[in-house]
Amino acid sequence: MAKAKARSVKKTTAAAAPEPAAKTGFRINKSLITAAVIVAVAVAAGIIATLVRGKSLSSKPAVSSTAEGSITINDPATNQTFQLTVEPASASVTTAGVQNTMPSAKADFSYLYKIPASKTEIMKIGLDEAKYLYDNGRALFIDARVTGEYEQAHIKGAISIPVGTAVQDIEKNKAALSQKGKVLIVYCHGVGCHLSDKTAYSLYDAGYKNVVIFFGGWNSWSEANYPEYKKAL
Amino acid sequence: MVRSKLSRVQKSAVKKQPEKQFKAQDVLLNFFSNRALLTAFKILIGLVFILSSVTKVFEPEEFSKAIGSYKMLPEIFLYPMAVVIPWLQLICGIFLLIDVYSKSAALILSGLLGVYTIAITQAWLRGFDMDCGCFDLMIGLPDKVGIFAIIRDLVMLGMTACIFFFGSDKISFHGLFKRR
Repeated sequence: MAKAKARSVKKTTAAAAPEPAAKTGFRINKSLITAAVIVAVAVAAGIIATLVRGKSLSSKPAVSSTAEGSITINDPATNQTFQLTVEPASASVTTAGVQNTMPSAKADFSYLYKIPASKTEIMKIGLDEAKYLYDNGRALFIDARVTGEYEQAHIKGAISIPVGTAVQDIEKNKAALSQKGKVLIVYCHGVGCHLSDKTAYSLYDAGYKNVVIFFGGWNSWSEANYPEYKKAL
Repeated sequence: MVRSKLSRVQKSAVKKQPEKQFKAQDVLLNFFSNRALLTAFKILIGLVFILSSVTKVFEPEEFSKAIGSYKMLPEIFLYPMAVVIPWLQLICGIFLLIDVYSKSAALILSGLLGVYTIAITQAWLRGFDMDCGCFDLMIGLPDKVGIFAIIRDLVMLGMTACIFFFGSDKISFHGLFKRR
């Protein structure tokens, strides 16, 4: 009797051991399935949200034509058409805090040749200003991206001064940098990339003060299909 | 007689477990499987992910730009990911906050955090000086890619891993509506 009891205790201890492993295995499987369901719900929510946003965007009034003297607006929700007359005489120009970078045939870009009084005054220029300087032969592009990216592709005629280049290494490009009448245009990947700011500051510190930052960078230049160098494949 | 035999059997069963050798490990396990700590982790991670995803849900364009700036994925994948990931974060965040299927939610968030950590690390090593796109869309926090962002993600990854390993996959609402 006693032996039988002892055996039963042994059996229960032996049986209890492998149980947690089996349970955790099952639990992990179960949580994987639940996770998959959550992912599916998120995908569905994303798709529905995109569709709803697309609908609400298309139902917003849209400007259909901007004929001279009037603007026609169609409201798809009510199927109504409004016409606004524009009176140029009453139009006024408000000066914004940002410098005008819109393209214009008669635009005066002489401000680009100004030398900034301090590092914080280094100008940020757009695509059109960069192209203007390039076309007039006044531009020296400086690529602030890493050397590998420069070697793959860069703006035609650009030299490479990656971020973090020491002053003595900047001086290696002295001949190019100290050309008279040239504006040093520093660029990197594009909007949101701050490598060009840092290289511009170190150029300014090294004494090359005729420097500007091209904030549209490589992305806007290559998107506009302007002259570039590309490594042959 | 019977008692002595029983106690011997019990003793031998107890001896089999190498209890003393892993004392430090046990202390750590007990600490991280502590219910109060897990609840704190769930609420914290839940809130963080809900707050970071709310604006991204409504502005997938901005978020796709943020993903694109990491230069890891082909452009074709950017928008679909920018649409799905915020919803995933939002749903998992809510699930963790109210403690519903928290194990599965923690599993998904661990995966996401792992990917974020890899993305931020590679951007940092490649020398990208850019915004991380983690929280800056929400409150305009200056949130740059760098060692701080990597450590923060790793800490959060540790928390989600604790929830995954020690949490349960039930609709438990932190045990608030438990029948006693």
